[in-house]
Amino acid sequence: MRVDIVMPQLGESVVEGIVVKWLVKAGDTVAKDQALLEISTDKVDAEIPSPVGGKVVEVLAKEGDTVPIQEVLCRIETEEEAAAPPPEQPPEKWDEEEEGFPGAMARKTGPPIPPAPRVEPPKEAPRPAPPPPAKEGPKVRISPVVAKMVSEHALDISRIRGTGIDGRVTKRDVEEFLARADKEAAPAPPAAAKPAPSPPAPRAKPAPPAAPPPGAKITPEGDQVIPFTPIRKLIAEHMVMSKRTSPHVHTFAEVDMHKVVAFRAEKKKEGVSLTYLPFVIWAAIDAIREFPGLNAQVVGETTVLKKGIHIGVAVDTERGLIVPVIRNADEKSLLGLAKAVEDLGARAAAKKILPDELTGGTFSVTNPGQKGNLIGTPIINQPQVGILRMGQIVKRPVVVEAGGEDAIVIRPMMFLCLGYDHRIVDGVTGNSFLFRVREILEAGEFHL
Amino acid sequence: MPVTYIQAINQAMHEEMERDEHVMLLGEDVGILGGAFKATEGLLEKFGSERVVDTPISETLIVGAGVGLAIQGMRPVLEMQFIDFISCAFDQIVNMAATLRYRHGGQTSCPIVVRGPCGAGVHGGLYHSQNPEAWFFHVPGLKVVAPATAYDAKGLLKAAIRDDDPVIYLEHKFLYRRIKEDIPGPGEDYIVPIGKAALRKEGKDLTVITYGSPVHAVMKAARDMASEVDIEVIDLRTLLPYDWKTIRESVTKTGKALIIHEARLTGGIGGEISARIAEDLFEYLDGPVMRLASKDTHNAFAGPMEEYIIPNQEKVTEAIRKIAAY
Amino acid sequence: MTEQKERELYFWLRLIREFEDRISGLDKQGRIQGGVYSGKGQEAVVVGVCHDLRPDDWIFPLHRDLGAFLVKGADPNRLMAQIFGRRDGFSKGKDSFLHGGDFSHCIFGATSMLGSTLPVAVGTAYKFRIKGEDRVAIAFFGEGASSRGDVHEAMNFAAIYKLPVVFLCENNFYAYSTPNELQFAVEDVADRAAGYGFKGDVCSGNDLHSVMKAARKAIDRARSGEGPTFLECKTYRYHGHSEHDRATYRSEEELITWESRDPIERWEVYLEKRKYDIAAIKQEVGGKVKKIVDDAVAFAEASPVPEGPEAMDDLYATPITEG
Repeated sequence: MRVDIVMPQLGESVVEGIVVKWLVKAGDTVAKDQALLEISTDKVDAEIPSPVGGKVVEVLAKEGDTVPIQEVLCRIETEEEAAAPPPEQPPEKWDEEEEGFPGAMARKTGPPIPPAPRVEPPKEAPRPAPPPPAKEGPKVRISPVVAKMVSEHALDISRIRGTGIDGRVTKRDVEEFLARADKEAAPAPPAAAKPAPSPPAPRAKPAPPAAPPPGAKITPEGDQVIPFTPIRKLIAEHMVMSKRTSPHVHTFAEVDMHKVVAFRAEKKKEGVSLTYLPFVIWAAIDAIREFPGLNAQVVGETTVLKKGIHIGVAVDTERGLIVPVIRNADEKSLLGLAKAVEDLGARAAAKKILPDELTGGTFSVTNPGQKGNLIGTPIINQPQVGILRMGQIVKRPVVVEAGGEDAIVIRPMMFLCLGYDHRIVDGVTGNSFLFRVREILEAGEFHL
Repeated sequence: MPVTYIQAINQAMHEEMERDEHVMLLGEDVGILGGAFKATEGLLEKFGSERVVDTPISETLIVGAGVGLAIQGMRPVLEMQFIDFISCAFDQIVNMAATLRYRHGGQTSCPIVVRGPCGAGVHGGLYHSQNPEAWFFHVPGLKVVAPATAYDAKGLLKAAIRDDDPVIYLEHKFLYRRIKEDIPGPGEDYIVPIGKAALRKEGKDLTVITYGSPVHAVMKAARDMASEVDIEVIDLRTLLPYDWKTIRESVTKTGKALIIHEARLTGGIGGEISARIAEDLFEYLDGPVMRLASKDTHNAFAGPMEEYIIPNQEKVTEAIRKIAAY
Repeated sequence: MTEQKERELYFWLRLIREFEDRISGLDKQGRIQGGVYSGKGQEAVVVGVCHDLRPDDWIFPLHRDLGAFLVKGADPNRLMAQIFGRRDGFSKGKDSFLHGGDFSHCIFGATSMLGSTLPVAVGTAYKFRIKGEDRVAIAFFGEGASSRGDVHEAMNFAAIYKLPVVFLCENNFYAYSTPNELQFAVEDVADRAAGYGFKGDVCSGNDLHSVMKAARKAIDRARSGEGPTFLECKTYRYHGHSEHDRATYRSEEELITWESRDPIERWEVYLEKRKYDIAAIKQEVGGKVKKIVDDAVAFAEASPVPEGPEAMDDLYATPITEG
């Protein structure tokens, strides 16, 4: 019988050993416990005694070789085959019950681990034979994040195909559902401007838009019917709700932005690129500190002055206007705000805004940008009570007083509109707040 | 030149003792022998017997004297020959060192490092395989670190030595000579900050939170299973205080969390992290927080038993499949 | 010894006694909370050992050694605030009694695992040795703690390196309720010193002269590099283990016997034999220590009670805040 002589593990951390010297060669007859070779490891140097008597039939490792533990160094043929005990092969046992995940735990010495069984979701048309109570059967377990997404997007979970265990709807399933819904809701190419029966996408279709509301007329020719996307639906509901909830008052200020422009130009030379929006946010935060009534919320018949200042920034996206929030904006520097604005913009464009980034704002600022026109009256983002809208910045001749003399100069001017909730913000507060924002922007005491 | 994990530890000791004369070493067989695993090789020759102290077999004394040295401005590194023996010094660590600053109202600090080889997978049996981190994880005033790479082994030991608080430094003996890396050598000083996890791999489907030896099994699984599932891997590196920010950001993103450690399941660190995720991130979860850890038994010696107990490669793969499929 | 020194020693004995008595009284009045461990009766030990230590020598007192704090220079006001658990105590309220040391006077705070400070004292002594500093560490422990492994490990290590440490054993005959004969089978615990290879010495802990003489030798030996000493002082606590222990495990006769060997009365007899005006001294010192302790109590009671959230302070020297 052939016995393998292996590199022993001399020490718990040892992984390999070096063959220093062979004391026997192939063909030699060796006695039991006779030294075969010298090895050296990180921890010890040792002679390896033969576990059996017999003839060295094969020497596999050369002097100087580094050999991993348990690897064969040489083989010895024993004389008495019968006497040799059978090689020990402890039966491999894997207690699947103990593992607690029946069927999934592979045997240690089994074939490659098979992929875990993914439970297939029920097919669209369930086979009639064994009728699984798919619809109103046992409760479907929904994970917290799925529950949250379903409620946020007002989805009907039974319409979403589940790919998790037992057909569970996973977060990814919802995300894919929403993405599909968005795609389908995108305007169809004008040529194919066929009305109502939009391409059949039965499962993925969000329920409400599938059929026009009763009473709506479908004009026979040329009109294009675009069902609300979930986000459009939310926007619509929100706008109506806000107008219904808060008596809006709008007040305007004309702001001389020349110091902002100058500061911005100076920073640009230093390689720091800033937009106008963070300046206005920065000024608004400063003014909020003086007039906390603008950073508030109505709860029942109480006014809740919010502790944190979290600024919602309106961002236009393909799917519609969203208002992600810069949390604890008052803890950020001007540069920090600029970065936050930039980050939100980029992520909004890439659809990477997380759901909870859209909630919790305490005041909003909106900048419609270059083509934002002179003035606009924004709608309050509920449950907030104030919103600032920036108008277009336009160079205008203005009268300034210099050295006691009136003079006409050219200045970049901007109309700023404050919309506020007249339930809790009185005119004095609203006016004073806006006046202060203007003062701050005109004073030009900025620092990054 | 690539160095092993244990060589990285040795380098850290050399460099820190070179850098700061207050750094010293106490332990059993750390001097003449250079440590049972050769972690402290060459230190006695270089720094002399006053700073490299071969102590009698007295773990309580080693840690207690370490505290006595620390209050006198020294920065002792205290070796437990096997971390299993740390239980002999438990009182000195938990009641003496951990409370020292607290019970003195901030008058003093306790810059000691208690380090030693932990971990199973090497046929060490009951008293040469333990993972005692959970005992110390429960103790305010201590910091607990557990590196998984040679780079971290060196950087974390240096950080631990420079830290003013008592640090339990758990080096996994399975990794001692099994991993080799190119790391910055002498003269290229660096530390790995305590309290910061390493994001070993980005992924979107689920987060595996681990540390120590299983990091390697998890990384292998992540590679092998890349076509099935995109795993994000967090190597905690510091267990106390653990890096909640990194965990939070990752689990918020992926919605699934699996915690893997070699220490026992019940009462382990995974339980605490799991509870924290459930409390703070409930609304982001897309499945139950799961744990994979050693079975609730002692570190049995016989090969099949040890394999049965510890979270080996196969169990890691299975655990990942299970949570991915949820 | 000069008259001034003899009077100073008397002052320390009386100050400690006044402090101990006051604390016992405050405890009975419910004005302080938590465990109170009176060292009344053992004053000569701490005075005899600490009275001429150098300011940079370190002491590691045990829970009954508030006298050691005072003689080593700790502020009586802060010590009282410590006992009251107030913000001006050494622990800032995080623990009471003698668990908070005073590092500015080289006084280490013990834990309740008595004997666990011995390895720490030995570590400190090791530093003195390798840095060539002629400072000493005094490790106090009871004969009760002598049964613990920490004590053995510390003594063995100190012996190997001939460290400048004095192992000061206050043998007051009871480990809480357990008498000497149930704690060890030797007559004197100091006999164990021979097993470690350093000198063991026994003295009367109620006789200040005896303590001073033995302590002087042990401290000199440590300071001159001759290594540790095991000095056992036989003494007696008048009160129970704590103020809430009626100490029914010992006889009244035994207590009276020891009270007749009161360390303070003995010193008064000595002063009288030195022909000092003992009545005048008693009156003067009595007034002085009463004033100090009155002030300390007033200070402690005026010191703020810490706020709940302060419990989270001082855990770490370099805390890592959560991101």
